[in-house]
Amino acid sequence: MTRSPYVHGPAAGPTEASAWSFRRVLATNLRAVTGRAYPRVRGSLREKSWIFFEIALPFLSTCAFVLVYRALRAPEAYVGFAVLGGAMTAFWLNVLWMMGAQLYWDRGEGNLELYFTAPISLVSILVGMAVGGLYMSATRALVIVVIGSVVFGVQYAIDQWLLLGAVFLLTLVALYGLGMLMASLFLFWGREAWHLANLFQEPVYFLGGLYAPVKVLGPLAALAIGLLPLAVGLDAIRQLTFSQVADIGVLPPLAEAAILVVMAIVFLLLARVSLGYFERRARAEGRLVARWQ
Amino acid sequence: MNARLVDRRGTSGWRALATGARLGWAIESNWTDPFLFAVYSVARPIGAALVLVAIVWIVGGGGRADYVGFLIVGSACWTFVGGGLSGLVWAVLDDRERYRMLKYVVVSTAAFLPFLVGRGAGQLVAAVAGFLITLFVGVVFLGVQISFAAIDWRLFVPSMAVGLVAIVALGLAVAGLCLTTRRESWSYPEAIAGALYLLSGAIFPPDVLPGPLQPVALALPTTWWLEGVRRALLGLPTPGLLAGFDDTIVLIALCTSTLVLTLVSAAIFRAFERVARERGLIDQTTGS
Repeated sequence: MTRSPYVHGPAAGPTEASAWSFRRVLATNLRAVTGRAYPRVRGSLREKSWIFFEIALPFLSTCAFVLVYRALRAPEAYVGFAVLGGAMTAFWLNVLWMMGAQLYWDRGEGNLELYFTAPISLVSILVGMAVGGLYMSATRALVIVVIGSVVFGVQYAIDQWLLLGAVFLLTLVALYGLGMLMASLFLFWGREAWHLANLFQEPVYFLGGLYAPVKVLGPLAALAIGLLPLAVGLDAIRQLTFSQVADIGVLPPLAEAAILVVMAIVFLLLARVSLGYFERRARAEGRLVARWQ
Repeated sequence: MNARLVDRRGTSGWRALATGARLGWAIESNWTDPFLFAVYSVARPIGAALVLVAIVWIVGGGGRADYVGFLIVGSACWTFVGGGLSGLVWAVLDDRERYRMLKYVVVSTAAFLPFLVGRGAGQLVAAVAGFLITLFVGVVFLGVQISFAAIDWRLFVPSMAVGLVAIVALGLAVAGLCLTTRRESWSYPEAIAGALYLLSGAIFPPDVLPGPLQPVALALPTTWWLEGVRRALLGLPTPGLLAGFDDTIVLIALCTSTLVLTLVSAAIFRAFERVARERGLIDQTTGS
């Protein structure tokens, strides 16, 4: 009989069996990360209707805003702002629905019980969800940028490729950190989770400056820059991809990169703490297995 | 016995509609306290309207007050489209996949179609708050010129009533389709609303559309509905293509296109319902 790689030898008793080495804990959690990311990476091309809707919905919004800019006879760079915003919408929708609200769906499907009974940290599940979701959204965002740029003839002027790449990655880390925080908050809730995810969708389009530079928000811009990784990241990305357009950013891109670093650390730490807190409360109040409430 | 049966059949349509509406409203609103529900109902449409207003400000400065009015009325009305379409489609998907009650409704004596319309009406009712608050924000904070006394009620009431019928009819067609699809179809309402948003002149006049799409825009009841409501509230027609039609033509076009849509949607719904019954899809859950 072939021995399972997950069995680490016979133990004298339950206490010894539960005493795992650090290496074993790490390996098991890394397997959990891979396991949770796998369905999203594989599924990103498997479910054709998802591909269509995840590209079509942000692209339809992008088209609408591009046509508004055209109706207003705005400078052509603004069309590019809308295309970039449309691409980032794919990430925001993914964070909101497939990170924030995911544990709510998982509870309905009965997966949440499995996560809690498995000898892994729930953080591994969230990291796996984030890695898979990031890959999935990146493919959608890329398609939106390519199609949008070709259809609407967007001209980019990029001088600092390295900084652009760093800002983009930092934005995604901070954004998915926020998603993990939201997932932990939503763990405690039932139908409220779904409705709250719905509630955040459009106002963040506004505050995040997805279709109009965040600078236009005036005093609200400071709030957006202080709270939303999407607002900071997109503001910096716009400055770096449309360097021919002057005075569109709230802060210089380097300062915004520094803000993103802080946000990424804070959101990830908060997610860790809040996950522990809400898990304890949800266990105590018996909400982990209460479905569709 | 027979008389009671006849009586039940006679009233079951209205009773099913009322029961569905009560159920839909309860599901829509009882997940939280009234305050948070009120915030929830208005945050999304206001957020959508503010994005557009920010665009107008950044491009046109303060000099495009006319366009802000156009956008605010369009955004306010669009809350009904989102609510109407998703209310009906999610009623099918939720009742089949989550609550698993659809099969019981179908085999009960209640008329299915009126029940579904009532069940989906909850979101349409919730959209009223979004509509009113978006207009309020537009008037009070953005200087949109809408005077209660100057509203053309003879245009507003029929435009709004017929427009809502068109939205429900469209929602029914999509809900019928979703009787035969898997639960991934929860995105359909948003996709269809997104396409209509582009084609109906919700946030820009139909003239901005590429030439081949302009006749499509003119064939849609939502285009005429928005135009009727805009004229009634703002007192002005949309500049360009639609300005060439007087109010009577707008109403006639709205009624005609809505009648066609309603007949076609009812036929589509019945056809998909028949397919779903024949293939045994009513009681199938498609968790994946």
